[in-house]
Amino acid sequence: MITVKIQKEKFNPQKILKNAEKGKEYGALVSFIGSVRGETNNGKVKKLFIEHYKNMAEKIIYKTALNAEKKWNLDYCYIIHRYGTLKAGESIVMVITCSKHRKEAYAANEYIIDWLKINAPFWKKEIFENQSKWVEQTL
Amino acid sequence: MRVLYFAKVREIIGLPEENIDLPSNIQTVEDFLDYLISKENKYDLALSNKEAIHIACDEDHVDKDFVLKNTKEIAIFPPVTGG
Repeated sequence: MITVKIQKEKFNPQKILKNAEKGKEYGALVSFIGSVRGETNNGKVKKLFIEHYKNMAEKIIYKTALNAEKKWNLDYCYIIHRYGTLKAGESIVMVITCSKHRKEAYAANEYIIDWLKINAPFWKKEIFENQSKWVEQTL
Repeated sequence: MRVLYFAKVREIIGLPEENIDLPSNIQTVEDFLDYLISKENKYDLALSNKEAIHIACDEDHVDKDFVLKNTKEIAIFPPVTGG
């Protein structure tokens, strides 16, 4: 089962995790959360603006999840990514992968977030006290 | 053809999107970028460093030698930074 969500609103990782665990007998669940850093090389981050290309982002993330599901025989896969303006400490992305054994769940989770970082059309702009700067790709 | 711009490219060009009729001599993505660059200074500023420009045609990543013949929507953007 694959769920992909791209939304402006905040999400609650604990609630999502609880739903993923509810009544399931996967064996292994791996969860990754990426959040807004409070400080970068350019100083204290006030806000983070995330721009996205909606249709393409949904398509790419779903395709990536589908590949991971097939490759590692996942029982459950949940991906959520935010866009809009976020504050330091807020969650940007969450990836949950479930399978019968931990190795598959770990590998699939890493594959999804790595692939998303290289291919999914989102762009971050860090907003500081006196300036703003588009983030450059780091792999 | 619908042309979309994102992030820094959008800011420099000053538009999120526009419709451009493809001139008949334009075959590939590379030709199209050269056409835009020669059109106006703002496109030159945004797109001349072609190595740093990525392209999607009808929501799929493509290389610069991709042939635009049946493309309805082209997106032009810097490397992605999600996650």
